[in-house]
Amino acid sequence: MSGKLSLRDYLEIEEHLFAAPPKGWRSAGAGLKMFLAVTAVAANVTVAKLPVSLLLFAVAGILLIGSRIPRRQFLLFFLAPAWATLVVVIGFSFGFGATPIWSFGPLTAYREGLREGIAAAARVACDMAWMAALFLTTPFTEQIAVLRKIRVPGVLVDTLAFMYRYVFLLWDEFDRMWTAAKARGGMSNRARRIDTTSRLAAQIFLQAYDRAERIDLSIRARGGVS
Amino acid sequence: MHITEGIIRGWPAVAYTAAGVSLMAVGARKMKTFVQDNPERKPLLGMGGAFIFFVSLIPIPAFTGTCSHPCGSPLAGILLGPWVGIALTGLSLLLQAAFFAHGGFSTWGANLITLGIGGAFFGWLAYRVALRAGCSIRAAAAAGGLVGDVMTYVLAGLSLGTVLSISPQPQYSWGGYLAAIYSAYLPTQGPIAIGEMFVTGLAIHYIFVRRPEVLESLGVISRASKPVLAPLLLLAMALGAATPAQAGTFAGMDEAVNERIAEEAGATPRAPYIDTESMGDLWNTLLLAAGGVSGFVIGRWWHLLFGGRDERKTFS
Repeated sequence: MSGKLSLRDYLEIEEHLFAAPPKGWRSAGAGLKMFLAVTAVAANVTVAKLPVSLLLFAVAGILLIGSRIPRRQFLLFFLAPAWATLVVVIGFSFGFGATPIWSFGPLTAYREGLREGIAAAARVACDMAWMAALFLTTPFTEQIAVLRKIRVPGVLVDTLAFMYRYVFLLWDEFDRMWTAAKARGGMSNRARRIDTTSRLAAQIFLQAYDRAERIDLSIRARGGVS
Repeated sequence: MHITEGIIRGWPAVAYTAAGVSLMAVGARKMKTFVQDNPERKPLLGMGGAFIFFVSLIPIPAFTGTCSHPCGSPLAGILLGPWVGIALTGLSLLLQAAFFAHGGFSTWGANLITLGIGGAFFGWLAYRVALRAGCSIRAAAAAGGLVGDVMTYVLAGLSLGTVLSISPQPQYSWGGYLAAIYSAYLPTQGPIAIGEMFVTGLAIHYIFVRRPEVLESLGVISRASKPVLAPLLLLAMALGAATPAQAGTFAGMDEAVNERIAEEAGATPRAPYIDTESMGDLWNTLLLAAGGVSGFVIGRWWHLLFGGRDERKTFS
């Protein structure tokens, strides 16, 4: 049920990060990488010009190639938004412009709209290239440490760290229960599927609640304050 | 439901991001207060955030056999409160933008407004109002899921329509874009909203059936009744009382005209079988009975809204 892309892929990325020796762009400080990634994304979004997006994309591409990232992990970041980006390109082509290039019934595609769509796709590719350059070369714990250093509110950073740690676990539990429910005929029709999904969501929430209590207890048992 | 990366750019992206950061700041403050009041619940925020992230990845049946993903924020708003729900939605959107390009960085602020305000806040509000109005917990949560989803789409359409109409060389006016966007949403997002309505209602119901103390500890089924509907009720009564006074010019039906029309149509007027006007006692008895019934109805609703809780009615 997980389809082509799943959270499991991102867990593999973390495993790969800790397994491989850091060199090149990988060995650069997490703070520097985050600063460059945020600056590149901000420039890409605010300037919003095709040449700028392509230039920034090329820089991220060079960094990624130099880091010898596994091809599959690199492609994950570009396949994920591919479908939505295609819809944007088509929507922009038919939604904006004055110079018609192609007509189909009441719909007309315009040159200016197509340009806008391509520019939007380039912005998406640029953003994702920089995200790949950051996440494929920097363990999440190091990024969290940088967020603490720059005084992002502690409650947000702690919550983000918890989320990242436990979302894999919750997803695994859900995936297991989903497969079991499917095998028992819990997804045989639409009504049953909605009912089963609701039961699983309720069960996952209760597990998350209990796990949060156990985490607090274990922290307190060690003399800490959660 | 995410506004896709790449659509919003330039100063609108900056403005939406600034609005999103402001919402997060308020949310962070509420989270801080939550942790100060319940230090033992700090891990719950992280688990709640992971739950929102996870819920928005669950496939629900959508359209002619296809699947889509629920917003998740109405469920989060109902379970964890609107502001914590908004803050956790913001963090979840950040991770989704980074990993899956669900939404994106340029659209993060706009997505936080639509999913946070539209989903978490309006979902929570609809749930609370429905619960106070005496609905069962399942119906109230379902109302929260539906309203949260619909408001998410309404706000997403407004955000998108505004951005597209101020783009260079737009093909439609603001209203035209809104009409186009909502027309596209109706067949695609409508079934998802209905699916999320059922999933939210049933999920809260199942949590209540298995572990009601969890919902009680989170304040989802708080026993303390606050008169949220009282001002609305009073306003409605005041409006009802004010309407005849404002109408002024309306002097009632002209019976002569009615009888003339009836005669022309071939229906001769005749005396009523029960003439309450000539039978004063009967009229008084009817008024008395109506007053008694109304009193019972109003009393029952007053009890449901502001009085003690009836376990069977409120939480069955």
